[in-house]
Amino acid sequence: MTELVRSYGRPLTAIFIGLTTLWILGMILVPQLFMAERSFWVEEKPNDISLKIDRAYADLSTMKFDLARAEGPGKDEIAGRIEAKKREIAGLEEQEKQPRKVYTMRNYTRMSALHFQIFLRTIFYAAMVTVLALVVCYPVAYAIAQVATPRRAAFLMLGLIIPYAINELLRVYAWLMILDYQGVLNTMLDWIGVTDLATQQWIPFLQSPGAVFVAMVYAYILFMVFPIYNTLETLDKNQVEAARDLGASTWRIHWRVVIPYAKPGMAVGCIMTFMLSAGSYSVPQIMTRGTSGDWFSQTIYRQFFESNNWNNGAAYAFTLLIVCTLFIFLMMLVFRVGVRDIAR
Amino acid sequence: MHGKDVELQGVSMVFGDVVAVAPTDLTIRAGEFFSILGPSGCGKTTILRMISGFLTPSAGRILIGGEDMGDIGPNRRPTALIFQNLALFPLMSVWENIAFGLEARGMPKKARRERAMELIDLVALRGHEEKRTGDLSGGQRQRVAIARALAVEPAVLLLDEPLSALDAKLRQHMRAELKAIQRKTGVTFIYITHDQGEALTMSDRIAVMNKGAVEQVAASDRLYDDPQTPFVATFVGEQNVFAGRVIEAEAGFALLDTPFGPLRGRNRDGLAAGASAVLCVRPERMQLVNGALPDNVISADVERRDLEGPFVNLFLKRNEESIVLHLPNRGAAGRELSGEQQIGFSADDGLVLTSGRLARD
Amino acid sequence: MTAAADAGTVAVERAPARRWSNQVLNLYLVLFFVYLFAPLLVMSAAAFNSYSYPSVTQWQGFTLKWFVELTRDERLLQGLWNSILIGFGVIAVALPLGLSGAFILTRLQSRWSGILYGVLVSPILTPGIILGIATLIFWRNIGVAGGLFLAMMAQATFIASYSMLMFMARLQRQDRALEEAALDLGASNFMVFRRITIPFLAPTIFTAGVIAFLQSIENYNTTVFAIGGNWTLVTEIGSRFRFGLSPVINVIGVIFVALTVVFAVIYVALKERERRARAALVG
Repeated sequence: MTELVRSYGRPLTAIFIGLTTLWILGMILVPQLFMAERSFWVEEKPNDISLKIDRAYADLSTMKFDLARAEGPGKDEIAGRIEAKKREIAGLEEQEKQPRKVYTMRNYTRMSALHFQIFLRTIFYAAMVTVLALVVCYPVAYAIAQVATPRRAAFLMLGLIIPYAINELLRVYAWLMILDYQGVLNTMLDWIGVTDLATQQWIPFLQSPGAVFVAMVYAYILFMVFPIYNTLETLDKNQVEAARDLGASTWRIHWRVVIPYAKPGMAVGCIMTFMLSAGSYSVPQIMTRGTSGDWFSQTIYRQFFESNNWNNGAAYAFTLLIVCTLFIFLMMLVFRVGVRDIAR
Repeated sequence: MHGKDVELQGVSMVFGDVVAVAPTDLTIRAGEFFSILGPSGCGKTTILRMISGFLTPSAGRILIGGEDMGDIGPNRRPTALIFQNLALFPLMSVWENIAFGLEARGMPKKARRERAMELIDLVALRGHEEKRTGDLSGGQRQRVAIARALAVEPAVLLLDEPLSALDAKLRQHMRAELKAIQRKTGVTFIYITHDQGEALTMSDRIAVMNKGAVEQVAASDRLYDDPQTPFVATFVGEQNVFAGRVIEAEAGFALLDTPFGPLRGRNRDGLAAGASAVLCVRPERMQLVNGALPDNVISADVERRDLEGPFVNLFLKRNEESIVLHLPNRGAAGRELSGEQQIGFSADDGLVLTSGRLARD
Repeated sequence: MTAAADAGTVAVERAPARRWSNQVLNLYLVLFFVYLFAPLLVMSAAAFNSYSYPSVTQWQGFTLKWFVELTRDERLLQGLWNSILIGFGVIAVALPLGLSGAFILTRLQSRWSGILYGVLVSPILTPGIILGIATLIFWRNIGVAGGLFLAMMAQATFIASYSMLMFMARLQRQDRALEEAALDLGASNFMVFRRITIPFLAPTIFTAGVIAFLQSIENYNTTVFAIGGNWTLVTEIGSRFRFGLSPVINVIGVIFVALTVVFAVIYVALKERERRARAALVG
């Protein structure tokens, strides 16, 4: 820090530290802590209070009965007791209106079988998207970074940047049009006689989770290409030439030279693709057109904005966060890379 | 411009458990061209950065013109630093670079430009003032850096090996130019270098540093002829070093028992008989014995003869110990030299020093 | 190895096996790019079909009426305006945060810097919906409900991380001696920042600003949780899918594609010119 002070002085350094602290605490850590905290309690309207209130009302009517029959100084005493009882009832009723905050794991343990199934399926499909994207993108990144001439590489990069920069929703929407009941795919199948659109004999692609899967691969595949490309771009072409010169087969060159070099990029690509797929709300929302909630992100959304059960939603969101965090550590382990290599 | 004196009182610098500069006392006089000479990693750049204020000493005080610099930041010290890579501002023109320090002092633009143009004339860059510094040659960039530093009228100019990036010929030329500018301005120059040629030709006085400590402070001639320690003796110029034990000490001279037999040299430090010592003799102060015998005579076998141009390096060997002589190049006369030769030197040209670390160790 | 290959130019005499494998790679690239672009073409084409359900297979004639309809769509236009407001808000919040983080991380020499780095890039690695949810819950406790402000804050959380990475990349290439030289010449700390550091960072500030704005406009997953009852262009598009599709969405798609192509071509052309200028300098 003394270095910062020397260059920019105390006031500016204080501003830098202040802003960073605000960012870390006010925008990253504390909001997530609030979310986590919220997932660990439920609001409870305690049963015993209503019991107590019932009993107090019973006591009150007994007293009123006594009051009606009492005479002399005893009457004032009973009237006093009735007032006290009324105050007690008012207090209890006030308590009943304010539900009690009870810390519990119930938001996690009460996840229904259906929700749990959705959760597992989401994680499974996200992992599949990641693996498929890795396999498909590695040759693309290699071809652009290592094989293409600089001019051609610039042109190919353009071809990657354009779809990457187009909004995720619109990219998914394009697939909705392809897989729709009277979409491009069904029409083509109609031509070869597999389906018959005139009699509504089409294949309902959109009703299977496969449709979401296909669109997800398309939506997030470029997040795998760029990190791998960025690392492979810095690989000295002579290394590949040298390996070839020493008689290594294409397979061996990739296994021993190129892939080890690309590992940080592959780790980043896998983390990004998995995280985006597992947490994607847009893709399932568009492909299912909001009619079914087959994906975990949709389930979370419903907890917040349809069931109005924020605590349960927070628990689901926190679960997703933990899975994604574990996945990051898993990738760092698998590819043997450090924190600093990630998100370059 | 007037130079100020710089005084280091017990200044030291410790990074973690590494002592970069041992407690050092040093006085640099006002208007002096002072060099700090030493191998890389000896702490000379650390001293420079402490004087300029970029490093705070672990202990001790730095005074400039008698004023303690303890709480004064680099931007308020009467010093200007010329960086090793020059650190010219790439996004500014030549004159904006030179006028930057004046801008920092709030001088209006017109006055700034006038002053910058004076300096541009001083360093002979007229016609280049609107260029970006990236479009200049190495020597021109050097001059911009000097002019930029002088523009703020510093009392002390600190130079961190500024010539190291230049080629040999330009370096020679810039030496003379730097010296001339220093004379003309009267500013105190503190010049850091590992190149003894630069230090010896330009400086009024030189401090030789080794492993964080100043070994000797002296004018060029004194440093060359009267080194205080074996390190200084061997770091500045070349030396033949004969290690041995003092067998006889008398008024002004001592006799050493060496692998080449007993040799006599000046006993400036008054070593007593029995002390472990080295005898240092410059290669150019030794001759081939020819007629009259000098104080010391050694026999050795000619191994090799290298032509340097104006003189010849003659390498001799005896009992795995080597000796080198610099002989004036007298044409064909010395070419056929071979076999055993008698070489000698005067006792006045040999210096006896207490054994210690040599520069080549 | 031929001399031509050694010189880095394309080798003419290549082993047949290699030429064959390059052919396979080329074919693969072609297929990959067809895969990338075909859906976008399908989507764009439907914008010009006069059939009122977005389709390319049931072609009922060329029309531009959906473009006209878009200009009359108040909700979409309001959404676009909201998106632009949020976008500028995100620039104003995310850039100073990213810059501060970058200054601290590039200068901090401590074993904590690794942890700090991890925390500051974590928003990039966190699912967008979680950033939205966390922001929503946090501000609800202070009494602020979902809306444009919360959408802006939630987006800025991770866009600041992207800005920070860009600033760090730039700062790591800075010659530290420049700032020291300015200080040494008597500049105040503030002047060093204004005259040396900011001009050095200026190109990155511009790029980071543009990218922050685009990321903000495009964001859906985070925004949809934090936007409350309000809407942006993208959340409005998202909610349209529920209630019957319209070619107006395709028109937006065409506009996005066209703008993206123009900007991407400019970007690549600039980069290519820079590369050639560099190559010319070296050559």
